[in-house]
Amino acid sequence: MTILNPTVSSPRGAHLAALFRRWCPLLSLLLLAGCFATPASVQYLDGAAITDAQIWSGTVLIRGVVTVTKTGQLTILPGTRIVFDRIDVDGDGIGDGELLIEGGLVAKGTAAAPILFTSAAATPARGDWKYLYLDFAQRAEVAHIISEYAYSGIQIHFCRARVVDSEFRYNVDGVRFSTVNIELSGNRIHHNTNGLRYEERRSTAAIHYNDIVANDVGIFIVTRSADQAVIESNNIAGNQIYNVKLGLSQPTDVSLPRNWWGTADPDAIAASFFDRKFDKELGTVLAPEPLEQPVALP
Amino acid sequence: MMLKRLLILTTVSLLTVVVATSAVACTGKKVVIGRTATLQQELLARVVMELIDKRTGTAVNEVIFDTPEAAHAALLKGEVDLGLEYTGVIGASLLSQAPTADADALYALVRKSYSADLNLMAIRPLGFENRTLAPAGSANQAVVILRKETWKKFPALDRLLEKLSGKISDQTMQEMEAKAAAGDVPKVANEFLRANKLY
Repeated sequence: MTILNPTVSSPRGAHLAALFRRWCPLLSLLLLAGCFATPASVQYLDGAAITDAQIWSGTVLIRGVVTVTKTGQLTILPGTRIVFDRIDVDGDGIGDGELLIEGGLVAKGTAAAPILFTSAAATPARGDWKYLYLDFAQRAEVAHIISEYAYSGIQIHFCRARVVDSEFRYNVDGVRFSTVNIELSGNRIHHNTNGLRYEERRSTAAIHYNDIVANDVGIFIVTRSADQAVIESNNIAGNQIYNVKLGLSQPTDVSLPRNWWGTADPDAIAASFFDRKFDKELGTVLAPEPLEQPVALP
Repeated sequence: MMLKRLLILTTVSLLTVVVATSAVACTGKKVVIGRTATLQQELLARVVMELIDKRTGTAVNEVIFDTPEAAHAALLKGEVDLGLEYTGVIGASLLSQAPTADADALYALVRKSYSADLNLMAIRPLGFENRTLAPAGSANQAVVILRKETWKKFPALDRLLEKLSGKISDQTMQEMEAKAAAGDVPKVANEFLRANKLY
């Protein structure tokens, strides 16, 4: 860990000085706020690997990929802001900023002090940074976070995870998973291209008491769903194109019982699904026992 | 001035920098389509890109080439996965065929030759003919070309692209180009796909 000195003249120092100049306006604002309130810490991470136990608070500025390795354990305290620089080295149109969790993550904010993952861009947009990515994570507990302007607000693969009481907005994919044991509950997933996107692939998924509303597509079931994910007691309504869309390789039916669809009219509900009606190679989306009023979130 | 100094001092004293090696994470599958800079190619490429993205969730990037020959060369070298070509031009320039107005026969020849000689798949024609490049007296249908190596990674891709076959008539293409020239290419492409219930 190094204390930044913007006047050093070595090549490394010049690099740090450049970083300082780049972030100085934002830092000044953040620190100005901190000077007149409680002391705020600002940490800058440029492609870091976290191999031990760390606790984040204040503001964390990330450029590139930060990895919590299998031996690492990251705890993020309530009110922490994780801000990703908008860089796109590979030119694929998606920002390269990423927090990759292979070890442990405990990110538990509170309703009053959520943990924010966001873009550093002056005019932020979907895909400014890549994702909060849980891949073979040893432990993952996520509560009261807000994740915005990412490619995926959170992406979870090959691990057990609990994501509750959080907000995913202004992303390409709000929440995305495959091959997991996951509970999603009490989340507000809105104004994303796809609210929830998943490839079931033998996942165990309990998805309940979520708002999945005002996305382009509410739920995108990409492929390989054996209809084992339990998606029940959610509000899946007001998504602009479809409430549920089946991907090209989803030939079998998928059932989402007892959800609120914005209406209890079966025909109107079915009209909000992209399924076999459009393409005979696809399965049908079933919505048995639709609720007659919205679900109250916890 | 005092406030400025205070800000700088506070910034310097509180800022910590942690530098370590970059990690590499999975970025997901991507497909790249090559095209030329004409409005027609831009529009067709966008139709293909949106269809693949919306139906499979696979991200698609595009690369723009100065000439059709450069786009074709990139396809052969594997620099791109997909291309947009025209059967009449292929027949004349690559297969040294005499012009023919038999569109079906020409497409069958292109499909067979591309598969056997170039390891490429010529998807069934989109439906319209491009007459501005076309050798005199030859049919010149637009086709999507897919590398077989790419198809092995995305085995449903040919089946998806076949859904576009015959969907873009001469009139449809003219109308789409007129709309695209006046406005938003992605919007025109998406409207076409939605109108045809392709997503």
